Amino acid sequence: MDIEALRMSSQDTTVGFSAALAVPHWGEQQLAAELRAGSVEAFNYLISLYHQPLYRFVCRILGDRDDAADTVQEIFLKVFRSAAHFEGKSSLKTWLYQIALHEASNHRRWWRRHKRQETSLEEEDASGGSWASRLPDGRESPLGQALRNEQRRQLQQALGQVPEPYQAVLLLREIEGFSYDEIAEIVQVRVGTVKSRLLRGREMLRQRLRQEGAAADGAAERPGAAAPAGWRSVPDA
Amino acid sequence: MLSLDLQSHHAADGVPPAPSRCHQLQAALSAYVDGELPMEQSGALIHHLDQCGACSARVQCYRGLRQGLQELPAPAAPTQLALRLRVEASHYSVRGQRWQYLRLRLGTAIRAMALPAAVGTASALFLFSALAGGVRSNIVNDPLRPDVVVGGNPTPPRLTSLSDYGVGAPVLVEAQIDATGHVYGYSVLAGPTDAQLISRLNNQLLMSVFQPATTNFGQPTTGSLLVSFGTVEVRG
Repeated sequence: MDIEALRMSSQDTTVGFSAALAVPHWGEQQLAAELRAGSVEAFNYLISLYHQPLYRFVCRILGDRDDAADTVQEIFLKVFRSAAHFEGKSSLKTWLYQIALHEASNHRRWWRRHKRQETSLEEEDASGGSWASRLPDGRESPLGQALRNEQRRQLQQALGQVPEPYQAVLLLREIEGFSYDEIAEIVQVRVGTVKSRLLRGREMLRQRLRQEGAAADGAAERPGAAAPAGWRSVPDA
Repeated sequence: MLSLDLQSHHAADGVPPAPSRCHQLQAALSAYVDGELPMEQSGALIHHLDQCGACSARVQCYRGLRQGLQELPAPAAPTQLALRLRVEASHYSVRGQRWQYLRLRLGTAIRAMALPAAVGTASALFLFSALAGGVRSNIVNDPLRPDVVVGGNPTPPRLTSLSDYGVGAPVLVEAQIDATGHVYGYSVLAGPTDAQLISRLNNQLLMSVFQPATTNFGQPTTGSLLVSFGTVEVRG
């Protein structure tokens, strides 16, 4: 996804604030040069472009919205501090995701050590979905809607159980749409490692879904109940 | 909407387990789904997929997983997050500007001091060289203290006028000449050394005038000179 497309998609999801700003039309080279010079307009432009995708990425890794917001703030602080040293060897987006993945991994490790035993009084929605995702779209029956939500919940849960290195590669490829070479730059491994992690990540995800769906299979065999999703249908090799 | 084939579950259960050779193709299947498999391998794999139901089902599974992941609800960033980030950017920019301001002030101060510092250094060098010249001339004025020749082209002492006393015998003398051109010592290298000759030699050397030796800087200094006296007999 190029910067222009990202700019459009990011602005669409930003409520009110960035729409009021005069957003300059900078190419990647110019934006990188302005960032190196410490331009506050360039920082604002970068925020409007990337805060939403980075939040989404970090939120999926951490699974916690508040932690994700704090981590995104840390990511951008790091970007501000190190922008002067950005050499442009990789693309700006790859560089940002590299920092984001590093920060998210650090936060996740910290969370496992310190915060695991805390219990929030404000339990989130189990599906992790936004309000918009829970609104009926008027084109689907209540049964279909419920089935879809159940599939999403299972997939979200299974994704959360995939170990971190495989989960990160899966997210970067399947959701963020990076190429193998870009993922290798972000994760700082070789392309061959990216390939093997993707394969193992997919297989782990499939296995988790099979285990998740075991209980649902019994329910699915009842008359009138829908069958579980096709991603669990492939037998083990 | 998720495009996963909800009805294919039971049908796919009938797919025989993938043979071991298909297990080796799993990496290729994953790359094929991503469109990252080289063209020459893609052709062979597509041919295999036409014949192998297990691998074909696995490709469909991977594609279904991708679609399912892409259709997961995207968590929207809190509305105040962008504002918080912009405030941080502003603070950081102000801090950066403050540092740039300090650097500018420091640079200006250094530039302002550069000219006086250069002039002061040049003056100090000039004064030092002048003082060093004065010290050197004082040393040279000491007739008994030989000067240190640094280099260059020093000149030896020379005899400018000889007195009329005469020595009366052939003799070779090495005379030490001070910086004022006077003899302050001598030694007889060849010839008689009787008292009468020494007396005549003393008078002869003391009354003669010499040009002192000079250093490479033209300063007069001590030196030695070989003087040969002889007898001239005029027959008439």
